[in-house]
Amino acid sequence: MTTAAAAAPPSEFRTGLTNAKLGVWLFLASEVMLFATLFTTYIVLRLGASEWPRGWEVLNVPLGFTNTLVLIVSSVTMVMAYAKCWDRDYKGFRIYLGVTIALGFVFLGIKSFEWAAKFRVHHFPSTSIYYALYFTMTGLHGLHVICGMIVNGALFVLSKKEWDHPLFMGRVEGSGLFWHFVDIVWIFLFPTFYLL
Amino acid sequence: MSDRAAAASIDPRVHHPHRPEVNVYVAVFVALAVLTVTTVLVSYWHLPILAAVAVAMMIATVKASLVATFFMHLKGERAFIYGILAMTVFFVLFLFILPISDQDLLSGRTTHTNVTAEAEAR
Repeated sequence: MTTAAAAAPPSEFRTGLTNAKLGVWLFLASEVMLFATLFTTYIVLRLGASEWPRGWEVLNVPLGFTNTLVLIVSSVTMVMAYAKCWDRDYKGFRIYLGVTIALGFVFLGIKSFEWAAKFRVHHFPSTSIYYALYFTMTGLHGLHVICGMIVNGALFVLSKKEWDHPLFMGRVEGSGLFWHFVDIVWIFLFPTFYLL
Repeated sequence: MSDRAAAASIDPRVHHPHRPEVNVYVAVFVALAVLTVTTVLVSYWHLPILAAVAVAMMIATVKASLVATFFMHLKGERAFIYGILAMTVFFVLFLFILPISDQDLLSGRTTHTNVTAEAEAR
């Protein structure tokens, strides 16, 4: 084998990206289309509606505001987990990733409380188009939060054995990309349903 | 050498161009928190719907851009990722513009009734 051949990067790095990272970004592109479709549905239905409630009339703005802050803080702890991974600080990584997962539970807890409050006064997806969209879009977002927590939980467990694996940091980065995307979706959902 | 031993001999950072910048993360967090408070405060003014949408979506777009640029490390990302995102933005714009430019909707024609329990009570 020549020296040049030995120095050539593996084929998967020719774009400068690992397959995993490329895959996560392509997946996120498809997710953007999914949520964009729902937002378009919201716009079309609202423009054609004879009446539409303003968000603060029907939802609890302080709770939505709190959940927004919870997700923003969880994005910071997620990126800090990546930073600790880079620094090869195992303990720090597990603390930040653990806090990220815990904040996911806080978010879901608050969301469940909000949903339960609506169900108690008999507000269901069938009540109105507003509630159909509210439950569909926040429900789909909640599912994404759960998926992100499962992946982060798996990384938390796997880190015991896989910490030194060269692809482990890529997995943390990929999971982080998904978690930040979930945060971005909420950044648009919050004003759409609570403030407009 | 086993796969695991070979793997462990490589610095995992070699494939990751994004050196973490903790100070930047903290600054972005502060900006996101301030913008979140701002968007909520503005909503208490009960602006007309068009102005409210413009302000809320502008603030949300800035917040989303901050998350994507710094937390998702789009700043300094490979050109290939920019290409994927440019294609996504192109199709998303079509997705928004085509249905919304429907003349029936623009003319304000009511296409369905939407009455909430609260609205009924009023």
